Amino acid sequence: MPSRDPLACVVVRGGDVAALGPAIARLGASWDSQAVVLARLSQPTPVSAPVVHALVDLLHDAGCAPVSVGSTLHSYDRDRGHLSVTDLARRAGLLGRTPRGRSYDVVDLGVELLDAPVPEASVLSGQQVSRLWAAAGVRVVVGRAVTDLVHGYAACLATLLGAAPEVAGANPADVAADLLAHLPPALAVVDALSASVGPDGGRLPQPIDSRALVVATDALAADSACAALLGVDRSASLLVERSLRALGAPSGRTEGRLSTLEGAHSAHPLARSAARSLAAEPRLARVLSAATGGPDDGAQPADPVLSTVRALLTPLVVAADDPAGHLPLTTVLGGVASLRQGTVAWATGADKATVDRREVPLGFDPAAYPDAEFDGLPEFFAPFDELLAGLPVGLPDGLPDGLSDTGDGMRWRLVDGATVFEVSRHIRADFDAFVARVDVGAGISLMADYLGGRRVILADQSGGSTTTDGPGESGKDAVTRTRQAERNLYLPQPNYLAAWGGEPIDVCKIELVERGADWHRLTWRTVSSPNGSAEFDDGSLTFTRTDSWTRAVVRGRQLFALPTAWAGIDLAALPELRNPLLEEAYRRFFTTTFDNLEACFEGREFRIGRPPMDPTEPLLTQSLDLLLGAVTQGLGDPPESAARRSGDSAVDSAVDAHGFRHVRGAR
Amino acid sequence: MKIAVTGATGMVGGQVVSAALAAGHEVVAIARPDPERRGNTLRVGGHDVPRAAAALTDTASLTRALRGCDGLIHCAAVYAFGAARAAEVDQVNTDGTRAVIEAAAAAEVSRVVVTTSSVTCGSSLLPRARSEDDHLGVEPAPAYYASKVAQEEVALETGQRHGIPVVLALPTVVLGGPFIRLAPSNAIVLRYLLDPTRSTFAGGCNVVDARDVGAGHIALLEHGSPGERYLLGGEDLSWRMLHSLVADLAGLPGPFAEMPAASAWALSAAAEWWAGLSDSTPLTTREEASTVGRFYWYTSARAHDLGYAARPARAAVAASLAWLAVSPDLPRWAREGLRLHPEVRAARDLVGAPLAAADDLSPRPRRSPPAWPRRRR
Ligand SMILES: NC(=O)c1ccc[n+]([C@@H]2O[C@H](COP(=O)([O-])OP(=O)(O)OC[C@H]3O[C@@H](n4cnc5c(N)ncnc54)[C@H](OP(=O)(O)O)[C@@H]3O)[C@@H](O)[C@H]2O)c1
Repeated sequence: MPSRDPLACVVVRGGDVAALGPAIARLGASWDSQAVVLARLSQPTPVSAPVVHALVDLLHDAGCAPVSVGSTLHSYDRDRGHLSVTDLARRAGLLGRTPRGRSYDVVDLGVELLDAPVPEASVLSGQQVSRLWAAAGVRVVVGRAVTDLVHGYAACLATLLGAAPEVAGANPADVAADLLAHLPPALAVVDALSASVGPDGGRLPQPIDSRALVVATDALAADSACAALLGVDRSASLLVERSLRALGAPSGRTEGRLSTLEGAHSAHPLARSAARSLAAEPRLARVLSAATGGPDDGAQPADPVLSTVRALLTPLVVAADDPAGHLPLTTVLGGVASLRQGTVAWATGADKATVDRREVPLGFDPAAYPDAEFDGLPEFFAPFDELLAGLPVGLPDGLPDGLSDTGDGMRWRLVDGATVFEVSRHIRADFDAFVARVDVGAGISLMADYLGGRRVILADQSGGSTTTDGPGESGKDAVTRTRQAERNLYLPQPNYLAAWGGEPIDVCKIELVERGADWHRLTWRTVSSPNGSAEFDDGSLTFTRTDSWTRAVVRGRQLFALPTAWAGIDLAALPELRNPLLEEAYRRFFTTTFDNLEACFEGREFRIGRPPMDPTEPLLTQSLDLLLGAVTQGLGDPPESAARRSGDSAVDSAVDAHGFRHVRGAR
Repeated sequence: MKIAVTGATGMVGGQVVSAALAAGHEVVAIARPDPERRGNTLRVGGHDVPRAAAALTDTASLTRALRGCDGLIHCAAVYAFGAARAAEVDQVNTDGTRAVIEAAAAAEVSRVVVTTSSVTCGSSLLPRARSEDDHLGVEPAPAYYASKVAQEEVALETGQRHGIPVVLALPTVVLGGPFIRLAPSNAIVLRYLLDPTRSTFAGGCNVVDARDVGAGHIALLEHGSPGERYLLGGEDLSWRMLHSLVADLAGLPGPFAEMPAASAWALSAAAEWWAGLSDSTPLTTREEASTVGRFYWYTSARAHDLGYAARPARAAVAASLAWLAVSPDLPRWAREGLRLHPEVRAARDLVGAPLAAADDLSPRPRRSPPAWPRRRR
């Protein structure tokens, strides 16, 4: 039975650019204001100029004026030696006038920026986006159907990223999802007139005469159709997968034939998976991207290290669509990814200052939880409070399974496989002075091994902050309540799990902050874990006034997923091993957490990690090149120095057979 | 009394300031001009004290800064080992002392206490406590020791020449804080925390808590006899006893084997080589290693007669650990492996950040910088 859903996507097969107008007309959209066309300009596979020109003409015809075409220069472009959007547009044949004589502006969308008009929950909150894109009456994105080594394919979402500068520390998939949610294009076009296929069609052009176009009112629908045309699962692209998770599957009907284009093929899934695990490190992802294919026409010369890597890597990528041919690439990428995993594991345990901090969106919609869910958090946790209160402190050794106490301010018990625990410390600071400097509401970010996250204080749906009688002994303790939502990332716990591929703990929580005269408390409940790292992570952090100091207590119920490598190990069957491991892990974590609270009170730095990679920082190979230069200089004159001494200055900057440029350093 | 204190940004000077304030004195801190220090106060132990800027080479500025003060406690000095800093140690500790006392005389300050060191009383091969009547002999002595002997001579001679009473304070190994630069004394404790072999040495030392040394200086300023040396020490310990205390309070195993002097020397040589490569301060030096096997044990009976009292070595070690635990000199991986005894947490009072800056965290603390610009040869 034909679907009654409204038409959201039209796939045209076997046509040419002339099919664009009718296809758009089928969608029934109408526009008449300032339009911005965000086009894929990335070399070596930009969109075809005829498609953009046809679109500009249609927009003009519909009454849109002015029409601008452009994108933002990202590290992808810079790393491949491209320095300007105008130059990229020129190379794509976009010169400001269509063959029909309609003019348009070629713009660098990254030049004029404004604070992203997005809710606080967005990864773009506090970041900037293109002013032109945000203000445009009609936003259009034009991608090209290309395959991609890491993502399987790339189309509109990859192009949409050009609406904002890259966000340091954020996963581009989160940025794409938030752009789609908050600054979506009204029209998404995939230029598949000549799709570029093969292992990495975006970087290693293998055009086919595919004569297809996809036009949609929803970029996700357009990308889904493009994936089908290229014969790839749409969720192979992390960008699409994340957007689908955040926004749900596109509604609306797709019209047209979705069978795979003749000749379409992409990288072997094993090669893709190896590339993906390597690309989890953004610095390596950039090198992989820059060193595949190229040098592009008109690009700045690559540094000698990049040239060498490119010469070695490109032939491997070229062969990666073959069931056997992909093996060398898979082996190399897998090897580098394992090395990287090793350094991550090392950093997690021994050098936390070198772990990159993260930027993430909130990851869930707190509005889906009624106020009562937030307000009921203390009651939700009350049975665990009771259970813990019943556990004696300082129990002797040789306790029955699941019941123990370190005698060091910790007591715990197993409930449904989760650890229910309490740890506490007397902090030698006056309560009022302490809470004036340490906000219990920010308690999660003060905990040990905090990598980053997002906290959103929710506007009170009942108006104003609630003040009621609290649970103080007097019963007259006025309490203010604030509801908040938070997502936070911690290093894997215990840290050594990183060596077995343990992922950071990533949890989304609803929270209630209560502040009374003699106690402040944050209570949280985990509602989801985007990476499946935790089944339970619920708890409370309480600061209480004592006779002269402040008592900090953390209670929790936690059950974290173990890495796959540990799947076969049933630790519960070995309490002699499990109990000390568990206690040591908790002791370490909360000793550091309490130390952090004290550091926060004293104004000392306590956070782990370093600011994430700045997307504008030079490519890793350039730093390596400098290093190599310094080492070479340290080891003595390079071989060509004799020629230099003889006055042959041409030799100075000569590039040798391996692509190394020899430059004599200052003495 | 209005007391001027040099070296108030250091560990001993900081505790002298706190003790002076606690005893009800007015304090002026004299610090070298430093563009990074703004305003004319210095924050010491949660108190803001007036600060006057004057270099130890600038007698005129020192005189101006000291004008109106009744007493001076001169703690500023370079406490460091290793050939790389020998010249600087000598210059600051002797010439600096002369300039300060001359300025004090010119400013008509009535009494001066100069912080020297117990090392000027020498050491023994046998475990016996030495006193102020003993002197550094022919044993191996780092340049720092020699500078402290010279400092005492210069201090007494300059005092006599200008008719200003000078009392000498001879602290033993001072543990605790506050410090922004790791002194070799706290480095003894740190080394054990970082030593994977958890080894110890032959010989021993006397350790004292910085808070007691601070109070001791005030006792000497108030009651010390001019021209006298006063040892300000705590408990005499063998290195093994000291390392056992560190292990117990930090929740670490050991100490196990006794490291022979030759190994200590070789390790120090390696530490100095690495520090040279990484342009950092070595955690130990060959000069220090040359003192392994000797006993630096002292009695503070003379100071006790003036009311000086020191807490047990355990408290001093706890204070050292408490300050190391919040110092960037103790790497995070090592700190997270410690299981600090509650006594350690009790050994340091928390001081709340100024409220205006509460949500604006202080910049990352500086790793102990060298006290004097490193001369490159
Ligand atoms: N720590 C011990 O175990 C111990 C034992 C016996 C004796 N002492 C003696 O106690 C005194 C203080 O030692 P400490 O442990 O407190 O050392 P510290 O923490 O390193 O402090 C040294 C102080 O001296 C100042 N200073 C260093 N060079 C200076 C210069 N060229 N001009 C002006 N000021 C200078 C420093 O000021 P900046 O902050 O400006 O650098 C700092 O205030 C020294 O005389 C030392 O020999 C120490």
